[in-house]
Amino acid sequence: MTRLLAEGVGWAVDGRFVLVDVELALEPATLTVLTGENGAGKSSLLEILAGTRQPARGAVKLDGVPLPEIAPAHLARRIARLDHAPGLYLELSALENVQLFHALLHPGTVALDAAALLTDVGLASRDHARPVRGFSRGMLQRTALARVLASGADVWLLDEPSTGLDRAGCALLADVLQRVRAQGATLLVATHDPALLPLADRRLHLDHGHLQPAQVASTC
Amino acid sequence: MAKIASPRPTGFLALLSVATLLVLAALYCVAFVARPDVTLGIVQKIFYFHVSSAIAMMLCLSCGSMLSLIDLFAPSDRIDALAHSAIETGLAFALMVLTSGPLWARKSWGAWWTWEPRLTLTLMLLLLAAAVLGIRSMAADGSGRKIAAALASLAAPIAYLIHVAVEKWGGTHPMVLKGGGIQSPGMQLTFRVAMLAILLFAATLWTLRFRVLRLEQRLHALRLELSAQDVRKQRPGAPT
Amino acid sequence: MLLRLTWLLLQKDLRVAARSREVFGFMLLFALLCVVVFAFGFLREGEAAAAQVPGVLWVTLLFSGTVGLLRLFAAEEEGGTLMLAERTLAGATPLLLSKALMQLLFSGVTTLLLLPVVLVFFDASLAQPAWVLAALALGLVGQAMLGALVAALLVHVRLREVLLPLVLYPLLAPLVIAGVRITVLTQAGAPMEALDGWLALMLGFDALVLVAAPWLHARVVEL
Repeated sequence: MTRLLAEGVGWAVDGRFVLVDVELALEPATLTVLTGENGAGKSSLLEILAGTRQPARGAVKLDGVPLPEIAPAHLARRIARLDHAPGLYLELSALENVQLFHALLHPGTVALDAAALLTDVGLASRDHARPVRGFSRGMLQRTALARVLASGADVWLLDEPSTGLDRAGCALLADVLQRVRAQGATLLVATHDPALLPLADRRLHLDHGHLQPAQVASTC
Repeated sequence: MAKIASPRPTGFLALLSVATLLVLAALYCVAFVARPDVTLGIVQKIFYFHVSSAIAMMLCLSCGSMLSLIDLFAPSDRIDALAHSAIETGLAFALMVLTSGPLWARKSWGAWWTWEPRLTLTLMLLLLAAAVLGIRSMAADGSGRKIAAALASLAAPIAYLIHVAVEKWGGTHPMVLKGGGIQSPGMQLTFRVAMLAILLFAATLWTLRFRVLRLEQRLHALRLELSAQDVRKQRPGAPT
Repeated sequence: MLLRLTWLLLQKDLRVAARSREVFGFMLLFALLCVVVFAFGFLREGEAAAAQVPGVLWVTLLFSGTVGLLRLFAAEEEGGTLMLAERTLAGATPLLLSKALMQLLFSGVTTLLLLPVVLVFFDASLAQPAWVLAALALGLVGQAMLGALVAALLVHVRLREVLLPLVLYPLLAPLVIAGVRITVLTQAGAPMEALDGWLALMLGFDALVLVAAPWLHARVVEL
């Protein structure tokens, strides 16, 4: 069964359409890579798919249920997003951030082994307890990845996830993505990073507000 | 697309004509039917338009607030346009009240402004309506509508509390409505005609603004549709 | 569930505030400055300074409260966490409540520190401190809840630094009027019955915003 489905999605900024008639079906245990020029509407599409932005036209369905009919809280447990903003409290440590978001989404459950998660994304244990304000872009991105992992969501919408990551970080990201895919998660990754392209089960290109299978290997 | 406004606004033109005639009639009555007040003199004649404007303002703003609440429950472009135009019309009448009020106050109480409860309440309503409209215009695409609707719905019950507060605060305030001033039949007739005229005038303004907003919404929708077609045409492989 | 999540978010806010040491100190300093400026503006030779205390106290709290409110969502904006925090398991309400509690805490401590300063500066004493404190508590609760709502609604609005006071001050008018009247009446030694109506008004205001604010907030932020 299709997990996330976009039907005739359209979205406009300042009275002009950027996305028109977007049709997209994402299946469980697949990784789809989304490319497109700057300003093509990739980020907006991800926001619409995540249910944080209302499309001007069309609808998005999660397991056949339109997003507006799903309680936002439930949606947040199913769909995780990683985008330009790290989504972290800068005064809190990496540990505190991951624990906080886990507790907000899954209150009353067993405490999470946040330290293991952070080690998992390659954050040295000396960095676990200091405020993330002092982190580099790549370290922030790793912490954000740990936050997404902690959410336990089965739909991942990632916007340029390799931003700021070094070679080891990219390999680690690819590793994590493959692992959650194997666990049955649905992944959509907007990226231009050639390192992530080989992972894709399917590649889509966003051009003139329209999704089509990508012919070119890489746009970079 | 649903019909938004008829190209021949016969109903609106009828409303406009009746309102115009009634305002003229009211002016005639104020000038020739009602005699000047014994104690206040000619300035008392402001009363006829001042009080009816105040009532029109209260009606418009209450409607605007209630419609905003409805729009929060069940969003619809029509209700939104109705609420928005009601608040704008209410703001216009608040300005009218705050212009005629001091003119009268100067003559009858000897000061341009007194913190008389009703005057204070009107000023607060004006500030609130202006703030709500300002926020609506400053917010990004579409989000302003919800924010303004939320604030407008909250403003009505709080306005009632402001009313209670300024009444208590004002202590003994001049009773204007229940004075002996409008006992004569001529004055009563004038007051009724003026009230009807101003209320119809308010309805006309409200309808006019509502129609303009609906047309704007329609224009926006058409522009959007056009840009969607533009995007479709530019696609590779699209029929030219 | 609601309380548990609110507590989680409040704990987080307290931790952030403790580490950034940003807003609270400035809020207090600003309040102090307000009092000084009011003294420049309102004190005249030969007139009793104590008469100005009610006005100075309440207007200072109104102004300094705004400083806190404008920074209430700063941490959320900086890290891009607003959308995440709005989507807890109990919806957006825990976020609003935690922010209101945060504001209440800040303005409450400011008030407790400010009150003696105002009394000393203006050579006054409180005739019936219990009633004034009750009025202050009711006033701050209303300001915190309504202020948190307006701040939350305006997070993404341009010119919000200007717009927040523009819409908040008229809405808070009943609280300010009632608070000043209660303070004036107690200073004048008025009987308790004279205060009842004003306190009821403040209670009514607080009840209204405590019920309406979370509902309106949820309607606006949840798509």
